[in-house]
Amino acid sequence: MTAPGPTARSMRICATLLLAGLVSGTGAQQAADGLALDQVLGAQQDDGFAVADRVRALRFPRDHGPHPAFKHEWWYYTGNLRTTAGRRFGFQVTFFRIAAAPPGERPVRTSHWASDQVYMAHVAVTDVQGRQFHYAERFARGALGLAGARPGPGDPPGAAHRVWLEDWQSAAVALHDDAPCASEVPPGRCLAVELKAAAGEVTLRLHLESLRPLVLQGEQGLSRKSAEPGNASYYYSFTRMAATGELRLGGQVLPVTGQAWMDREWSTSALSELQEGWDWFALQLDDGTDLMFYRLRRKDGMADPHSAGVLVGVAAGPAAGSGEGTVPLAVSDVVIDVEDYWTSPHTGARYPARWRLRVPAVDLDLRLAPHLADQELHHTQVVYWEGAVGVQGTRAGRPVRGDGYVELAGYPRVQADK
Amino acid sequence: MSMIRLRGVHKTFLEGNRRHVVLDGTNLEIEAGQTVALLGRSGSGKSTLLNMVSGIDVPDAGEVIVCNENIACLGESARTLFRRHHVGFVFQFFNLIPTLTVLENLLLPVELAGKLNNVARERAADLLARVGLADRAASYPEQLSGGEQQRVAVARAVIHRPSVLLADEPTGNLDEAASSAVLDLFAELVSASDVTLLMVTHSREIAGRCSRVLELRDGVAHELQVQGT
Amino acid sequence: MTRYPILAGLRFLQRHPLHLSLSVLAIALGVSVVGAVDLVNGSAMRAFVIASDAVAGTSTHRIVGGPRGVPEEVYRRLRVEHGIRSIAPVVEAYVHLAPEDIAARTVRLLGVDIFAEQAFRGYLASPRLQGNAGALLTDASAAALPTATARALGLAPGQRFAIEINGRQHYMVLAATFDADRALERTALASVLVTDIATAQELLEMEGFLSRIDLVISSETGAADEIVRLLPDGTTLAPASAQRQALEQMTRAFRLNLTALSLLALLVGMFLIYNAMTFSVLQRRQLLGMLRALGVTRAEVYRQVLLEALVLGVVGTLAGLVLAVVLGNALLHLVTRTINDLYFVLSVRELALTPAAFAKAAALGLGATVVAALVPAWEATTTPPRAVMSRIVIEIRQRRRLPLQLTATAACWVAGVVLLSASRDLWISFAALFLIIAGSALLAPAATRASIALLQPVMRRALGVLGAMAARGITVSLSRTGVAMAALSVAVAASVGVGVMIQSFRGSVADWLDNYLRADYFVSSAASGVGASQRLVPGAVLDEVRALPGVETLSLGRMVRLEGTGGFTDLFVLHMPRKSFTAFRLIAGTPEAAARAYFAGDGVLISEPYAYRHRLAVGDAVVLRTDIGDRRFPVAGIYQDYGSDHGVVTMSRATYNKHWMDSGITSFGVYARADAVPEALSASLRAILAHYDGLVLYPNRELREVSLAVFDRTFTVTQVLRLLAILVAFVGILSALMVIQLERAREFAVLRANGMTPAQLWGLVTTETGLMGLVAGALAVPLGVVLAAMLVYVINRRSFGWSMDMYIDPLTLGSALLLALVAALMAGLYPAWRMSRTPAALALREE
Repeated sequence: MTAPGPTARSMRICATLLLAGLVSGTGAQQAADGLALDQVLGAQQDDGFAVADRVRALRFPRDHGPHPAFKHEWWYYTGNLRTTAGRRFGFQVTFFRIAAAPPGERPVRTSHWASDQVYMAHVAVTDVQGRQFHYAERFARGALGLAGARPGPGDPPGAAHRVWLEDWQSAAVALHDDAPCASEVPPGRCLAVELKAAAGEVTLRLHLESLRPLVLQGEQGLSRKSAEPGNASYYYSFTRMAATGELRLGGQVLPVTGQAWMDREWSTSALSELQEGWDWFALQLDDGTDLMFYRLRRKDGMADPHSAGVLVGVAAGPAAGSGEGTVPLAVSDVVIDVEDYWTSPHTGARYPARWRLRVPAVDLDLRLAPHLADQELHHTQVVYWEGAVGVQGTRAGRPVRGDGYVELAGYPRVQADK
Repeated sequence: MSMIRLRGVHKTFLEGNRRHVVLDGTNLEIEAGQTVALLGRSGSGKSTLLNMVSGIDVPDAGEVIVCNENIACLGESARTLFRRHHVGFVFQFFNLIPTLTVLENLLLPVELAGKLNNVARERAADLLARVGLADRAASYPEQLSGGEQQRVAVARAVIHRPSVLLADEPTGNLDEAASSAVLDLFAELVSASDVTLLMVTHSREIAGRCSRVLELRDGVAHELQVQGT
Repeated sequence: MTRYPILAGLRFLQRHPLHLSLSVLAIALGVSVVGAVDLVNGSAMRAFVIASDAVAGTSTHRIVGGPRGVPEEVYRRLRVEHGIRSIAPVVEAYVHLAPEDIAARTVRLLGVDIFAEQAFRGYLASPRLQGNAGALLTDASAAALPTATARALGLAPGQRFAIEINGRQHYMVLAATFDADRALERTALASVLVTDIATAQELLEMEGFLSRIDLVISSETGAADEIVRLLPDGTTLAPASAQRQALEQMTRAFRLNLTALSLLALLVGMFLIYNAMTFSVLQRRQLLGMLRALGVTRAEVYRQVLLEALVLGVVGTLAGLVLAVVLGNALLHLVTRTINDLYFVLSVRELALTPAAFAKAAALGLGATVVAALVPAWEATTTPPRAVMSRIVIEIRQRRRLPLQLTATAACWVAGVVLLSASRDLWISFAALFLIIAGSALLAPAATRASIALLQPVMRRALGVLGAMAARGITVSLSRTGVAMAALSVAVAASVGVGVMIQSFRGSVADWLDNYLRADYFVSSAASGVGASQRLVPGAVLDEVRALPGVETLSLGRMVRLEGTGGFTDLFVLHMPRKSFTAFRLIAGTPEAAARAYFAGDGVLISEPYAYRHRLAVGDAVVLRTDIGDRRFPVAGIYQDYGSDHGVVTMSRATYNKHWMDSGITSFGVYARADAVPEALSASLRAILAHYDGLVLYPNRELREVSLAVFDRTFTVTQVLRLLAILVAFVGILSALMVIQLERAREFAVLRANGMTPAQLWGLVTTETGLMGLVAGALAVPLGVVLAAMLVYVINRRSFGWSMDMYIDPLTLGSALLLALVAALMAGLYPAWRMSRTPAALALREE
């Protein structure tokens, strides 16, 4: 069976979803909700779905909402939090939308339950001091109000942007008047949301508010994942959002603050035949720089030339793309050395566990270490490592620190070919 | 020492609406080892008297002491057990259990007494040989002639070494030769085992082979003179 | 216990093979009927429980709603707004799978949300759902079947198959297959068809509603209360087991009646065992006397006879168990069909051969044998040692025992009547019934004597000495003939009783239908059987029909099953012309007041079984869960109804509309104008209905006939059991009378030796047995009528809550008499034949 064409971070989970489907039964993947998603998604043709084959003018807030013409899509929040006492937590809240059938084939249905839109959500909380990693997975159909996404505001009239799966949700709220990014950019390019989710006994209620306007990734939001036309996604990010709220953990209510990152991506393609997985880095440094880089790993161990990223808030540089001080990063701009590995006791997968990441062009030299070694989501449909990391290093000789999130996909030794 | 002693035994039967007195204050004493013939007309109460001695029936009044036991005072079950251990029986008809073989018939009383062992089996074989039917052990009664059946019955009556042997017209159904063979057997076994024999018969000739002869008349036993021993 | 006496007894049995084999056969038949009924009942209930469990999955509770189900919004609110996740929506109904195929069967269409299923029905979890499960979501005709069912239907994934819902065909595509872990569950699932919940809603026209919501609630206190607090009016939380128990309970009386009927067969069998053992004891009185003389105690004799009975019992029971499986397989279909006709959809494809069922049947068989042998065994112990006891003594004793028997009869009857009036419990009622039967059986010897005394002069005059001999032959050997006649009487009486009961029932139902069915035509959805989904009649049909020139008015019916915590209530909502109110034959309440309350919406009517079950009288109130909460409805009248044995609450549409937001109609009746031409009206009705699938038109007569046909079908199993009881009796009578005659070989030989011709002997024997049959039959008729009265007035009322009138068909009584006569005559054939062929000398020598 051949996997469809390649992509990058944009394709990250969905591609593995499809992979997982091909290999169900190998990876001890007893999902919490037990559903083999590959069956829902099927090994369907992508015919009939829209593809990201050209630059389109993305409009906001419309494009915060769902794009059912595309096969998959997600709203991806990660972040690092701290209590007033300094106790640290990492969190991930992701809503995935997956279309089980192309839009043209949708028959007229009279039941409110009828839907070919499937939503999946992953929520993970890393309790750094408690050395605990909590996570959960959910599915629901995009119907009857069980799960869904709305563009908002004003579409439908009166509604705010919202993504939800049952009682987990991200709901847009009004920006503060003095929001840092509100005055400078067109409306919709800043976002404030209330995030509500839970992983096991940990519940999360956060207010997130963008500190920077959104950044269009790739070519004005078109992020190419291989040379093949259409093997790309639409991709934008809020690279720095202020997070405040509370975390409930075993009867305790812990007020937290911190910083979050939001990624938005939709597409119809997956990994190319040569690609095996990816390493994705999203780092927020205390000098105001945000860095995103995804390295697409080829099966031969090399980094795929379509690996790419962006550097945001580089004080000196001219604005490239949208937003101030945004510098795109190509595969040759970033040097990543793996300095250590961690082998999962759950799946036996061997993940990189320490990195040295350099961007010579801006004299950035960083060392990344996970806050907790075991941040692997393994009782899920797709097994991957997604975790909070600490960053230390230098920028032009001056020390910088920060936090970030790293995602490592395609590591479990699923049978390579079948 | 007396083996059988009846004192003032009364027995009446209801026949229709008529009371029929069978035994009327009968007294009787038989010493151990005696062979006694009991004569009497039909209906004179001979069989009833035998039934009293064997504990099959109990008197309306009086004592029936057999082996120093007043069996008139025993319960039904105790009388049955008494019979099982102390009494041997030979009847006129239907002496053998048709559904048991000759040997099984012979062993039946021993088994009832709970004494079925190799000694008993040897004794059974010995008795069978003595009655001349050693080769018929596995036969069923119906395959035997009347005389043969009765010889087996006699053997069976003594196999468990009873103190008292009761016979009710044992030759009544046999021809002369067979009768004679059975009576010889009685004599032989009685003398060999020191058992007390009480035999009901019609025949004075047969009675003559016994040490004592009694006649039941009007419910009372009368001693008759034994002629020519 | 000693060996040789036992050996002697067993060899005796061995030497009487005919006697033996007929006794064994009687036991075997009795055991097989009881065993078969128990196996079938057990299998049916097991299948039901397994199917319920498999479909209920792990759920502990369920949320149930009103007439149309649970609004789906309730589910969304619980899950999304209250974050309650251990819940799963279900839309379900019974549908016909592959209606044209030979493998056609009724299956449960289970519409689920696979994303909510994992905690509930493991077999729908991913590894078991094989194929393109995604199509379930995207394809409105996609369905999943158990692998075995798909295989049975010859379906490969992607292939189409037909289902029929309410008379309408739909084509489904097999998208995936699934299998349960456990074999039990797999059996249950064979009758399940799974679709996405959206598909199920659309197929069943249930958009917006769920059949129920399954929940897993921890047993912690308060968890259920918390849910209840969140539920809107019109919905309620019920334990998952409530429905199952209610359904199980519903069939309890039916199953109990089958069991009782099967026990009747065993009872007849017991008489035969009694007869056989008595006979064998009498035949061996010499043997037993001998053993007693040799010092065998009474207890030993007693045990020996019991042991012999036990040997017969073991052999007969073993044979009976084998027969039970054969018979059970034959009955399974009948019982399942009756349950389907009367109660709920149930698919039982095979007999569950549980060790418990066998153990029970075996215990009953052996127990019955031993109990039946107790008296003969006691009889045996009374054998005096060595007594040359002529049979005449026994006969005299038998005669002396007559007063005792009469006393026992009276005692049994009194006890039976006391029990009947003391308790409503069905088991006790049956016990009373059996007591009365037993008491009547004890009457047989006395009754026989009396009848023969009456007949003897007639016989003498008609048939001369031989006739008198034949008559006297019966009374002379009353010790044995008495039991045989008792057995024959009981068997025939049972047949008469059950037969008259069924006739009375049918007559009452027919009478009721005549009064109840008022409209000239009835239209309802084609769904048949109870529990089929209630498809609503489209409003357009009503408009079209109303507009027909020949139509005077319509009556509109709506059948609703309201589920609640304590099971369910069937509610019948009827809008009808006022003049038709007399269709309700009131048992309690005055017609005027009841009609006033009914139409004014001040009261409801309840059917007789409902009143009986809930012990309600006019003036009491029924509490029903309405869309606006629980409401009390005063009972305005109780009416006769044979439609449902769990009872129905009937209310007017006006009353209904005040409390429920539902305008659905499930059936309607058409009243023709007086001047309407029936052919024309019927043609135009058919023309209208042709445009709507799944609606069936029944002219008044036809509906009556269809209803009676269903009635007859539901009584098939009863009829079969009745015939089996007769068969047991027949075999028994045959054996008893045959043995009695064979025992008289010597007597007959004497007659032959004295110049009686074979033909005369033949005549003597057949006259005697025929006379016995006739007398037994004559005794059976009144007993049968008494039995029928008890069944009609007591058992049926207590089982089903129905009261009905007795209808006695002289033909039934006549045929009972004939049955007894034929059985007895046949029993005489072989002995007469054998005697007439045996040379007299040979027979004489045998003794």
